[in-house]
Amino acid sequence: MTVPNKIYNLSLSSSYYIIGAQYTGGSLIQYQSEFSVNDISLDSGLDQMVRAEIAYTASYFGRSMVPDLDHMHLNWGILPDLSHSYGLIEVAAGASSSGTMHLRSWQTGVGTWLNAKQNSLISNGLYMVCCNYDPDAPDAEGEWAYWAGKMLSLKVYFLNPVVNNINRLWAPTAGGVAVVLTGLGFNNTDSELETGGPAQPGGWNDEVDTIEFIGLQGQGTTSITRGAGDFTVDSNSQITIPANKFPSLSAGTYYINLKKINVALDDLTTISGYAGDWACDSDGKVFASTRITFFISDTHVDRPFRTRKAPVILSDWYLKDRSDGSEVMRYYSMDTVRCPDRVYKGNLSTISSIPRGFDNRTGLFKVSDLTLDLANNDLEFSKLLAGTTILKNQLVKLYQVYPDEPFGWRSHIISLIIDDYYFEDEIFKVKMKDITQKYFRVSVPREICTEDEYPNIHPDSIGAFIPEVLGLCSLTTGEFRGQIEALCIDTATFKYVAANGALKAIDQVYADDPVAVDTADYTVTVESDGRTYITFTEDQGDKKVTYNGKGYVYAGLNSDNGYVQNPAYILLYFLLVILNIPPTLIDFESFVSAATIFDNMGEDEAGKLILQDEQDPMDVTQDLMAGTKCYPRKDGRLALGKKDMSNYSTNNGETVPVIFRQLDVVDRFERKYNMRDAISLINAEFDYVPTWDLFKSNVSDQADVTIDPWVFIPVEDNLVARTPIRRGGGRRSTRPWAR
Amino acid sequence: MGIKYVTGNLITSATLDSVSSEDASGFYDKENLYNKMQSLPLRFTAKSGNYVIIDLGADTPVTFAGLYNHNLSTGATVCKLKGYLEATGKPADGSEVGDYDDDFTITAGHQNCYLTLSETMRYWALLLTEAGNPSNLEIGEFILGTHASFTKNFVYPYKEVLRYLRGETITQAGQRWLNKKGKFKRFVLDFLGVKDAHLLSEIQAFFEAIDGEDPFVFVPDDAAVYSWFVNCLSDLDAEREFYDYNNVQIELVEQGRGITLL
Repeated sequence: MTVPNKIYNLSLSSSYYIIGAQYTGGSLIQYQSEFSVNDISLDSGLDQMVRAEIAYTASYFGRSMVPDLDHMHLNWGILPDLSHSYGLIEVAAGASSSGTMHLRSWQTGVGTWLNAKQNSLISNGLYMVCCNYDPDAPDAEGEWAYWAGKMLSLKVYFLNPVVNNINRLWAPTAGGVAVVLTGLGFNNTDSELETGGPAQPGGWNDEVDTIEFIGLQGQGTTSITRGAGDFTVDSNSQITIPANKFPSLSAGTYYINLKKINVALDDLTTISGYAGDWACDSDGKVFASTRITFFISDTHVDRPFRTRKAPVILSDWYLKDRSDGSEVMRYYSMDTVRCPDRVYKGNLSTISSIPRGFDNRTGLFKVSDLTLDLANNDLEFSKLLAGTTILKNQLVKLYQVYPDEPFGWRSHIISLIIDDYYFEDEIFKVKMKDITQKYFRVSVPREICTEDEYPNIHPDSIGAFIPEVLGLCSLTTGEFRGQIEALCIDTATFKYVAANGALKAIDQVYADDPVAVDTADYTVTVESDGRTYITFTEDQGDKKVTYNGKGYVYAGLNSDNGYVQNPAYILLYFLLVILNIPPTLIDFESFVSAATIFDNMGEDEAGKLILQDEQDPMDVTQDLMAGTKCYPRKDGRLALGKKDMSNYSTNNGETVPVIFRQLDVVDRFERKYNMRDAISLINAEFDYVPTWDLFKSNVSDQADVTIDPWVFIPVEDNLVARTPIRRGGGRRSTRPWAR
Repeated sequence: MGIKYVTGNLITSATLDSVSSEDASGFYDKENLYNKMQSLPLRFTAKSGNYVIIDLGADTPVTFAGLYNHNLSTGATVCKLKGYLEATGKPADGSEVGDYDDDFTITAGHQNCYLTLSETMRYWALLLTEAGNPSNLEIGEFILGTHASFTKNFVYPYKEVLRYLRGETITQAGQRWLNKKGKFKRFVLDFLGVKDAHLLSEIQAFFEAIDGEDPFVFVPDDAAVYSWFVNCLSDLDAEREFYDYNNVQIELVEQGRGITLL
C-alpha cells in the first residue's frame, strides 16, 4: 500500500548549483542553491500535501583548507523559511552521494510541517545548503569549501482520497444496491505518512468520514457517513456501501465527493476529493482522469445496444488565443445539447467517415483525413477567426453519447488536430488529421549550433545538430573511439557542446586519438541553458572530439544507475521531451507497464539513443520500439504495448516459450477451431514425400486477416493440416500421421 | 379565427433588469432569454422563488407574453406574469402586488405557454416555482411584445404536421432500421384567391415582418392554447407568387428544441 503521490521535476532558480561556504570579511558566508518546482499546482481534489521526497545528488567536493575539513553535510528546506530544514546527508571529501531526502509531514514542537508550507513550496521552491562542517568550518580569511549538489525531483504525497473506479454507475431511486469504490488514500497508514520524520502523537485521523452525492440538476446534496454505519472503509483502497445503506435519491445525475473530517492538520481539518477527478496506478502515482457521473434512474437498465436511442456526436475544440496563449474551448454538436456544465452548439452539419490504417514502418495507427462541415450562418467561425483564436494544429476530440444516458457517460471516439479549414458558402469546412502527425512532421535533433548563439563557434560546427544522448553510450575499441561527437562552439575558450541536455556523466573524451584525453585536461559542466559542455585546457584545433557517456537524467524515468536507460522510457523521453508531445497526449501508464516488462526481462539498462544526424522521427520511433507496439489510443494518447514473455505458454515440454517454430506439414494448413491466439504468418514445409526429410515445397503462408497483426504465436493446437502434420526439426517421427 | 404572430422582443440586454439566479457554468445565462434560440435556455439554480424583472424604460404597450421551451410541468405552483406601472415603481423580486397579475397555463407535454393581454406598463415580473421539478427550472425564450393578427383567415384548416427526422438503413434483404433523430412541428398555411385589399396589406405586413433570418412567435389559431417559436421556410418567391396569382403557401417550422443530457 502507498499514499497517492505525484512526481515533479526541479530546476535551478539560479545559474549555478554550487553550495558551500567561504570565510570572507571576518564572517562565514554560505552559498545555497535554490530550486523551483516545475508545473506544480494545487488542483481541486489534489490540494493537501502531507510529505515529500527529494531525489538529490552531490558529487564534487573542493576545499582550500586541507586537511581542516573532510566532511560536510547537506541540509535542505522550503524557501524562504530557512529555520525549518531537516535531515543531514554526509558527503566526504572527494566522494559523491545520491539518494532521497525527506520533507517531513510532522515535526515535534512545530506540528504538521509540509502541509503548512505547501504554498511556500509552490511559490518559492526549495533550497539546498551545507552545514555541520567536520571537523572545522572555514575560519580563516579566504578559506572556502564547496560541493556540486543538486536536487533532481520532488515526489509529493497527498492526503486527498483518489477514486479509480466504482463497481456500478447507476442505481434506482429507491437505492438498495451495494456500491464499492476502489482507489487509494481512503485511510492511509500513519507510518507511511510519517516516513522520514517523527510520528504524530494521536495519529492523522485521515479515514474517509462522509460520502456526498451532489445532484447536478438541483436535487441537492445527500450525505452518508461512516459514523452512522452507512459505509465501511474496508482498506486504504476500498470503500463499501452495503445495499441496505445506499440512500434513496431523486432521479438525475450526481457527482460523488469523499470527505475526511477532522484530519489532524494545523489549520485545515476537512479534506475532500471528487470520485474520478484523479486516478492512480499501483504505485500510487496519480494522473488526471474524468469525474465520475453517477446516474439515478428508475427507467434506466443495462440495456442492449439495439434499444438505445440514436447516438449524438459531440465535439470538444481545444483552441488557443494567440494574444496570451490561453485555451479557448468551443463545443459543437448536431443539435443544441444541454449538459450540466456546458452547451454544445448545433453547428455541426456532417462528419466524414473515420477509416484507420497502419503506418507500415512503426505500426502506429494512421487516421485518414476527416472533414467536418459546420454551419456558419450565425458567423460563429467568421467571428472566431476574426479574433485572436488559433485553429490550425489545435486539438478536437469527438465523443458519442446516447440521449437518454448521462453526459458523463459519453465515450471518446477519437482525437484529431485541425489541419486546414476554409469557407464554402455558409459552410465552414474543417480538415482534421491524426494527432500524431502534428508532432512527427519534424526532423530530429531539433536544435542546431548557430553563430548567433555562439559567436566564437568553429566554422565546422555552424549548422550542426546538437546531439541528443540517452542511455549508456560507449565505444572504447577500434580506431575511432567515442560514440558521440562534441561540437566546438567557442574556439577562444576551447569549449564544446556535448549534448542538448544534462548528461549523467561523460566517461571518456577523445580528440582524434584512440587514447582518451586525460581528465585533468578538461572539465564537464551543465550550464544554465541545460546543455552539457566540455571545456579543454588547451586548444584542440580542428581535431574531431568524441566522447562516451551516460545519457540524460530525468526524474521518474531513471534506472537504478540514475539516468534514463529502460528502452520504454527512452522512447517516452524521445516522445515527451525531444518531440515535445504534450503529457496530456501520452498514456504514461502504458509506458510504465512496458518498462516493467523490460525490467523483468533484465533489459532495463539496455536502451540507448544517439541523435546526431538529421532523422525522421518515425524512423527513430521504429528503431526505439524494440519489440513493442506504439499506438495512439482512441482518446489520442500515445500508448506503448509489449507482450510479457512470462505469459507465453510453453508447449510440448519445451523449457522456454516458443515464439516461432518451423512446421513440417503435408499440405497447407487451415485453422478450424481454437482461435485463442492469432497467427498471421507462418513458414511451412509441406508435401513431404517420399521420405520424411524431403519436401516438395517450402512457403510462407500468410493469413489475410488476423485478430492482432503484431502477435506471432504459432500454437500447434490451433492448426489442422488438411493432411497429417508432424513436428519438424530433423527428428524422425514414429507416427508421422498422429494428428 | 385568425393567426397571431409576434416578431421581435421587448426583452433585450437594455430592458432585462435582473433574474433571481443563473447557472454558474457560464452557458445558461440570463441573456439566453432573448437570444432567439429556444434550445439554449436561462437555467436558474433553484426550483422555487425564481423571478425575472423587466424594465422597459417607460410605460409601454404589451399584448403578448410567451415562454418557449421551458421545463415546467403541470405541477408548477407558480408561473405568473405581473405588470407594474411606472408610477407604482420597480418590483424587487415580483413579490410586490402588481397592477397586472395573471397566470400562465401549463399544458402537459407541451413546453410552450402564452398570455394575451392589453396593458401599458413599464415593469414586468415573471415568477416561477415548481419544487417538484426533477431539475432546476429553465426558460428557453421569454417573449414580451405586441402581437399582430389577420382579420380574415387563410384557408382553413391549415396543415399541422409533426415532422420526424430519422436515420434509416435498409439492408439488401429488406430489413429496415430506423433511428429517431428529432421531431419538429410544421405548419403549412395556404392563401388561395386572395382579393381582399385589407387582407393583402395584412399578409404583406406579415411577410415584411417575417422575411429574414429571425424566428418569431406563431399562434395558428386564436382559440388555441398553443403557440410556437418558428422559422419561416418560404422565401420571396412565394411573395411574388402571391401578387401574381393571389395564391400563396407559407411553410413554418418550429425551431429545434435541442437535447438535454443529465
